[in-house]
Amino acid sequence: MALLELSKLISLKPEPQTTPSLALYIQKDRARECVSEYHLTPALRAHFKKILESVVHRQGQGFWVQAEYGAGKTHFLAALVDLLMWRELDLWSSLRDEELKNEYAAALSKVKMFPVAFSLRGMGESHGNDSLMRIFEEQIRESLNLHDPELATQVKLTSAEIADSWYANEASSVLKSAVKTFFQEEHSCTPEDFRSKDGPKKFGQELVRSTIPEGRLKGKFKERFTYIYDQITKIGKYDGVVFVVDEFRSWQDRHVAGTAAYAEDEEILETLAFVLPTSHLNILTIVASQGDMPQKLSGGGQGDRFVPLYLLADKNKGDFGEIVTFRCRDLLKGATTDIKDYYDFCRKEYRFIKQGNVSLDYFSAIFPFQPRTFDVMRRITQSAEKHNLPTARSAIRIAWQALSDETTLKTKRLITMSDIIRTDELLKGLSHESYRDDFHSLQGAIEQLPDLEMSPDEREQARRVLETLFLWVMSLPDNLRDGMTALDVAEAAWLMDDAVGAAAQAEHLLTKLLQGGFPVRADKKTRDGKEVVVYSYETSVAQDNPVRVFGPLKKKAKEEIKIQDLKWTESLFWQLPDITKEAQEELGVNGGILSEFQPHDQRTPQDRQAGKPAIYQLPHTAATSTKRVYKVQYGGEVIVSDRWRAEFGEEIKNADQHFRIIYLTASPDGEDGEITAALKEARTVVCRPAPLSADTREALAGFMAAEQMKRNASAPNQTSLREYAETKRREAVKDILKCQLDEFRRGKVLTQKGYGIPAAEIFKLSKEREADLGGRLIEKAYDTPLFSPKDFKKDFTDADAKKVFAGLFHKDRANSEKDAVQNFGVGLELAVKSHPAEFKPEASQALARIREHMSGRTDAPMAELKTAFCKAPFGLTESMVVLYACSLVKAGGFELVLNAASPITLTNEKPLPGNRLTTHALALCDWNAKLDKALLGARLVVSVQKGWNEVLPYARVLDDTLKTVATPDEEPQRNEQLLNILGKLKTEVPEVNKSLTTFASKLGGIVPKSLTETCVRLTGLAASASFQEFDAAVRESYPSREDFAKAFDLYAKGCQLRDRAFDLSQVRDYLSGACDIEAPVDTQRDLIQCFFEFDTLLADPAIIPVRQQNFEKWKASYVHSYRKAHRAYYKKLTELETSLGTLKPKARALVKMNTIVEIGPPLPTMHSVAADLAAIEKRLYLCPDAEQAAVEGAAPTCPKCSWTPLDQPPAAEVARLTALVASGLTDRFQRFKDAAISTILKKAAEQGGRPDLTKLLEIVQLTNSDALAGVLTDDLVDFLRKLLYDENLVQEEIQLGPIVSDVGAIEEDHIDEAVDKFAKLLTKAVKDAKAKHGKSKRVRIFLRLQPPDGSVQ
Amino acid sequence: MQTQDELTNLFRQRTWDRELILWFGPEVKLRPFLTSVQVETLDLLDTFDAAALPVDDEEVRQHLSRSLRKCLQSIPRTAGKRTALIVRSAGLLARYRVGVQDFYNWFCDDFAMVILLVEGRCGESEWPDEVECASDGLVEYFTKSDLIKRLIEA
Repeated sequence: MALLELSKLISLKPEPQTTPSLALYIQKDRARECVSEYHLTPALRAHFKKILESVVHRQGQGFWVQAEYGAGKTHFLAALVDLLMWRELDLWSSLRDEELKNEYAAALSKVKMFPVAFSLRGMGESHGNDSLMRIFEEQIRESLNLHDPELATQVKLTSAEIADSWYANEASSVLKSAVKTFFQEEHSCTPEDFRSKDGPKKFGQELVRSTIPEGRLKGKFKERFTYIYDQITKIGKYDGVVFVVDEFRSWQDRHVAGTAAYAEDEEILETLAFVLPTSHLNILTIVASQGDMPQKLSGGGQGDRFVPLYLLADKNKGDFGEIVTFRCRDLLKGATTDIKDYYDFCRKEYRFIKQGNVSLDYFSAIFPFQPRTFDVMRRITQSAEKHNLPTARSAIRIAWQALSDETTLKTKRLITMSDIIRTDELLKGLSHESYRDDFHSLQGAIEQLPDLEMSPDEREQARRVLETLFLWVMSLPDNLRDGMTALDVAEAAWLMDDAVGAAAQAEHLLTKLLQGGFPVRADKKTRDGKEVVVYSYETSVAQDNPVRVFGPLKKKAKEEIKIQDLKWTESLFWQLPDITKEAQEELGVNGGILSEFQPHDQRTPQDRQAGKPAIYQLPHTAATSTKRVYKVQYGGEVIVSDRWRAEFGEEIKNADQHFRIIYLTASPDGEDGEITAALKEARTVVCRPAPLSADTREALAGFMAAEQMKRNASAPNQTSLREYAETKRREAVKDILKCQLDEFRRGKVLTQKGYGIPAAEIFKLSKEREADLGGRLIEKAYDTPLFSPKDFKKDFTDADAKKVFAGLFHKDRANSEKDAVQNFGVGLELAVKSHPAEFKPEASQALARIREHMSGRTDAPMAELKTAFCKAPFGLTESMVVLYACSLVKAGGFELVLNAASPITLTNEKPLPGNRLTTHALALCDWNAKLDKALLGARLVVSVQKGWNEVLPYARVLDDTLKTVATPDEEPQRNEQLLNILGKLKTEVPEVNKSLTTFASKLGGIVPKSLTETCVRLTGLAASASFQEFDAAVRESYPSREDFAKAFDLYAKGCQLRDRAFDLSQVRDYLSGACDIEAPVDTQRDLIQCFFEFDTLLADPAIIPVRQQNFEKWKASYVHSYRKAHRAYYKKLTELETSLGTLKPKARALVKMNTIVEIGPPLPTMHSVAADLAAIEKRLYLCPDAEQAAVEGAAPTCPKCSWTPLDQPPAAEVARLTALVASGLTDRFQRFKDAAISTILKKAAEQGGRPDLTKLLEIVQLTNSDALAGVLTDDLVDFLRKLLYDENLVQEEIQLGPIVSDVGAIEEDHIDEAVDKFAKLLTKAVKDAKAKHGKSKRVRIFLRLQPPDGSVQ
Repeated sequence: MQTQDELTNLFRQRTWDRELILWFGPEVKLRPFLTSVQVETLDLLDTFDAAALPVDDEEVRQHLSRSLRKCLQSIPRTAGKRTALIVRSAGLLARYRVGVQDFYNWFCDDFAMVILLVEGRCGESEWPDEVECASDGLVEYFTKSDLIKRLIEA
């Protein structure tokens, strides 16, 4: 089968750009290039679909795109963003994926997402100033400016912008005033001036700084993103926002888990990918990183935080070759046919097509590369950190560089491993220190190939074999040693031999290489049940004998005594991870002999990596404790030092330290006697090791050599050396740990008094060495304890002291606290055996000693007590001293004045008064960390506070039922009673004061100053928090109890008056409102009014009932008199109303007749008739309660009519109106009888149709005014007026001709003159007519153009 | 800190991985390494008009970033030809916290690298007593926040 040369089938693309920048690739002018160069494999297509589905369905979601360095994450993101962002460019037509195009191009054209895409690379800030939120805000602003400048001006992003907008649009007038004040104080100008001068941004920043708009600034991530999202989608009319963050790994690496920056990153991403989408915000967040997503952000499922999308994952390993090939070459037209020839050829000649199940499609997609080439490339570039070759990026470069070799393109075979080994990119990787030596070895081997007896063709094939085997080994993981069969080699190196076949040829070449001493290794292995020979490239280091490496290193280490000493010290502090499991199990240790006291290691990370010995800061001090003596936990200190210092022997000064153990890491230079002499304290012990033995130094040298060997053998292929070194190290660790015990056992344990503690006993395999040592020291020092240790039922700790405190002094005690009293009360001598649960401290030696210490003094600091008793021979601990001090307080006579800077809150949530712990306060005080703090600087003082019985006389002024107390324990109860009384007083006093002020004003008086002052003082007293405070306050205001009683008596009277104030106010109102009704009654009223004066009533509230009786008696007589007068008044009104009944129709008829002015004007006096009649009618209103006015209640006059004797009946007014109506009617009748009027009326009556007119004429004739009301209707009045009016009008015709003639010609400038003349002529004509018909007539004229005869003038 | 050999190796490579280097030393010592590549120079002081700078540091930062971006986009590039851009006055990037993202975004790629030039530390004795001189502050700004890929001292 004839294969075509490669150059006829493929064309090389321009050298690919493999480090795309997201910012660049999403530019409008680069978008098409980005999309068209993106190759979508099935796996990538599936990833795209997942994301695009979310976009189409407008469902916000997070996606975590993860892949190694250089795997194509940025290109993935850029292609995606371009497709979503540049809708107007029709990028879908450039996408080389029909499936995706068909499914999403149309659907996505309807979705408008706002893009925010950026890379975090190079965005770090130093000094911990990183803020992902700040970067998001900046990038959103950048995107707005770039993609939607108009929207950018409207969207508020930062706190400063939001604050500025808040001030302009939302701030209330109150907050605006606050802002004004802030700017006035800070900048001496108004906010508006500041804004116009410094700009809105600075103004906003200042507002934020002022904290005035706090709470409105959308400070939480969720609020801020929601706020931004709402603005973008609502104002910009976007369907959602897509955030794309590239290079997140660079950011992740800088923020260690647990830091604030890490937490911020996590919270922001969670908010965007989960919190906001679940609140139906269409936010798509795509993060690309080499690293794993933080645990908190993983969720897996759709809608559940971030959905992971892995690029180039193992399961999609075919992607790698496809993508790489796609970026490097194009297939020429018709190439597919010839590629099939290649496929068929390989299928026939080699096994890899069948073995690897390689389809023709895949073969075509990666053509002209042999598939195994990509396996190697993929493996070798999988870890950029290790191989210095970024995944797909390097592979693209390698592939392109291989194809760019013209010689290669002239061949008729697939590209193999040996073709790529000389590319620049792979050479870059092979020059890395991991491979450098081996690569040099390969180059050396190739140079030696001419030494082999073989043809040039064979030599060329041998070179490819070597290169193939080399790359194969290099690509394998460190822990995997594998080779290739001869057939594998033949296929991978494309070996051919028509005579013997490819595999045989490969075997032949490999044999020659092996025989020639080339670094090729042959191993027998079983594959598919058959034994086969596999070949591999033998790396140089693997041939070394570990023993030969270790030996010289140990020899050298043995000579380094100083480093051995340093390693010895280091080993003493080894921690569990430093030692081996074997040593832990065998020796029963968790580290070095002093592992619990490890000082700070000052080495740098580089020093550690270089294996330098630890640099410890010595001496190092640590705390320890023992319970071995008297069943009490005593604290002590441990000092670890590399040499003896005189200061270690000083006295122990801290009360919480009862012993001191000094470990020397090396045998001291001086004699033991010098150390013993320097010890000033019996509670101090020094442990020193013996000088290091030869065995110890041997073990140390072995350890040093093993570590050095491990460091040297760091190359990937030096596994066996490393393993050997690790074995030696493990052995050395065990040996050193044993030696540590030996050296200290051989050493000495030194004390001041030569207690003779054997080192061998102390340094046996014990985990409680310090407790043992401390116990031995204390047992001898504390020989006169101030308690009875034998009565302790358990070991006593500081925590137990607190439980005993609660158990003895609290009312509500937990079981554990009761148990503590049972266990320790008797031992502490605070209880007796007969009553082990009760506080009975009479027999306490400690209390007696402390009392003795206090004798003659009123005050002693707690620190002094601790120093005095936490030492030999008493053996009290600090917590015991506190407990005994509190017991003294409980017993009475003492108080604990606590540190004022640490105020204590009692269990009733009230503050401890004066921060003084008294007998009563003990029951309400917890011994916790706060009390411990308050005890720092506390003093035990003799109590000066008064007892209840001393306060009682004053208290009884308030309530004389208050009783005395028999014991201090009753005082809290009495205190509570008093506080209740004061509590009521606190509410009552202001009310009484206010009521009395109002009432006094009503009665025309004022509240006396003495009472006002008493109220003020009582208010002050009512604020007392205890009876002691009350006592102090009341004595300050009132020197004697009598003064207080007198003042309180006045207040009590005021209270009585206040209680009657309502009734008394009513009395006062009644008296004031009562009218003058009858002289005796009125006199009596004036007298009673004097009885109700404020001063009188306050002075003697007892007379109030008597005064009220007097009032009631007077009121009865007043009510009687008022009712009588009221009734008489309305009786008279009834009479007047009757007489008015006959006058009303006449008056109304007269009013109507007066409107007929055509018969002549009415008399001038008639104008008021109607008003007078109405006024009288109003005054004749009759009260419904006329018979009995309701004045027996609160109102002193009739509630219905408010009548008083000042109101009189309108009799005179009725008489006057009667006379007026009579004279008016007479006048009108006279007018109707006038001849002219009478004639007109009669004429009209004769015409019929108005019977009412006829009737009227009859009434006029008879002067019968009584009948007028029935006849004179409004209609008749209107008729009469019109009739008389019309009868008074005459019509006259005037010829127009003479007038026109008189006016004459009218020039245009003399129109006004002509009109005037015309008017005068008309006026004259009217005058003439009036003269003709009489002055009483009204005249109407008609102008005629023609004379009556019709002649023309 | 990497060695000068590393720089030599870097310039031997056909392609780069978005390299951004801090050269700590005089420019004259850097030049011999650059003989095989096209060299462009950018002095950050030339990217803006000092008289038109805003007062607020934050605004200066944005201003510088915008100017820098424009400059970077306008630097002539030949396809496939390796170009090294020497950036003078790199201290401005630290002073105004401009960072280096613009170099990564708009310049660095397979064939283009950026070399930030820091020619030396400020001398201790030049400052009055009340001024504390953080002589390594500039280098630390670039290294502690992982802004650069390599630091090479002359």
